[in-house]
This record gives sequence, C-alpha cells and structure tokens, in this order.
Amino acid sequence: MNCEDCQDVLVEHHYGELATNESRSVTDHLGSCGDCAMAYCRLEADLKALTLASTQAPRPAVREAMRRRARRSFTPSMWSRLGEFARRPVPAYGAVGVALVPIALWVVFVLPDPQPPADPTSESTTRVEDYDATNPPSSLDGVL
Amino acid sequence: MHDPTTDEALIAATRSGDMDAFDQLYARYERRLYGYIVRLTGNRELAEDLFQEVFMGVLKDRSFDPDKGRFAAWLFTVARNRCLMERRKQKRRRALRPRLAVPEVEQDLEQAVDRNNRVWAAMEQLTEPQRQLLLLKQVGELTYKEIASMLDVAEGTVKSRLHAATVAFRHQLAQPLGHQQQGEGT
Repeated sequence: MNCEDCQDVLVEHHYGELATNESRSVTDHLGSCGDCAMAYCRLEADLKALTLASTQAPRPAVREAMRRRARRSFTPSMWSRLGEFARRPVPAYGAVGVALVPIALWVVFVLPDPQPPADPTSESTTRVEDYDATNPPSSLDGVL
Repeated sequence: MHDPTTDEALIAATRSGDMDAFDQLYARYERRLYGYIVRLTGNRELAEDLFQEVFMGVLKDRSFDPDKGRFAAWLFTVARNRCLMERRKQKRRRALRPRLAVPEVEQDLEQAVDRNNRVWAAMEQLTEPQRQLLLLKQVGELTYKEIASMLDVAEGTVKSRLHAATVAFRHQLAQPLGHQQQGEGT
C-alpha cells in the first residue's frame, strides 16, 4: 500500500469499516510511514474533539428521576414473584422438598406428643392395685 | 449463554427489576444519547425531557428484537425520529432556538471551552445531513449499515457522504475561529 492509497481510506480505517485484510494493510503502512501515521493521529484527534464536544451528561437529578421510574415500572410485585416461583421447573420443587425433609423429621421425632387431659371417668384412669377396703393394711391403722 | 454485559442482556435484566443493570445501561448511553439530543434540539431543558422519554420508552417497548439489529441503532433511531418530530412541532410554534446553538459546557477550563466552541463553529458550517452523519457515527457509534438503514439510503452512499463530511469538518476545524467558510463541503 502506498501513501496515496492509505490516505484515501484513513477515514474508513478510523471508523472501523474496512475489511480485515485492508485494515491490516493500513496498519502495516502506518507502522512504517511517519507522514501517514501523523496524518492518522491528526484525524483521530479531530474526531475525538468532535466526540468530546458532542457528549455531555444530563443533570444528576435526571438520572435519579429515571431510576425511580424504572424501579416503579420494572420491579415485580409480590404476587408476580410468587407466580414466577410457581412456574419454575421441576428441579426447583425437588430442592424445596429436600429442604423440607429435616423439618418434617424434626416435627415427627423431636417434638413431644401432646398429652391429653386425664378423664376421671375413663377406663384408662390409673387404679389402685392390691387394696382391700374391708381389710386395710396395718400401716394405715393410725390414719384410718 | 448470553454475555451478561451486552446491551440486550442488560435490557432483559432491567425489565425484570435489576436496577444494577439499569445503572450500567444508563451509564453506557447517558452522555452519548443526551449529547446527541442536545445537538439536534439546541435546548438543554427540552433535551432532558426527550432523553428521559426516549430512554424510558425504549426500555418499556418490548417490540425491540435483538435479531434485527443492535440496541444502539434502535435507540438512536428512536431519538432521531423523536427529535425531528419535536423540531417540526417547535418550528410550527416558531419557538425553536437557533439550530445547534453552542451549548453550555461543563468544563471550566478555558481550553476545553475554546475547543468545544471551535468544534461547534466548524459543525455549524456543514450541511444538516453532514452533521447528522457525523453525529450518528461519532456519537452514536453506529455502523455504515445501521446508518444506511436509518436514513433509508445505500451503504455506499453513507460511506461516501460520511467521508466527505469528515473531510469538510476537518477543513472547517483548521480555520481560525470566526473565519469558517459558509457552505464548505456541501
């Protein structure tokens, strides 16, 4: 590639619009030709100045306002999150099931059985064995 | 697996409520998009309104199809159409400020102010289509193909016009401030 050819495509080279082999030829030429390299640096500086002069940020309040709007618009509600969870694939249910197994075991084996209140009329009421009211033991003589 | 840092992935994450993704997307485009709108409208307050409208509208609009093109091209197309519509509206009201007025600059450095003034003095000497092309390429970072699709012209046409616009811009930029030649590069 000679200098004339190179200068003709410098703009396209800067914009990244050349084919790979053509771009490589330009790069090779720029590496070996000081005049073209200088011309390319000037081109880049001019276009960078255009970019710098053309870009600017809006006030920070604009960002905050947009962030609030985005949060309102896109944050899912509790119901939609629950719905999303319910629509998850089967492995998610398996994971939940596995997580629930220790809880189930704890409920079954560790928690004590609740005792029902004693019913005096029930058959299961504790009875006094080996006691004959007509012939009380002598140890109860003082009491009776 | 999608690259989580692509625009498309960030849009999807934002739409599902991820505000970190919104912040990333916003940081990626705020300066470019807002700057572009300021240049098209010449009015910072109006540009702020349009910037919010365009950015939020594009995020909410679910018709964007990543298979049909990049997010950047879609965003700048929407912004351009919205700005042109607003300009027509403003023209009818005869309330539009002078086109491409040199906006306030944020840097205090005299050198930066001078540089920006020189750049915009040079840009004002170009034709409207040339300015559009340079902004879409330099600020929007769109490809020839995307610009061609947006302007409904052939890719080769974009290439030749952009080349001419770049040469004309640099020619004007080389002139001393206040000595730019009207109509150069048309």
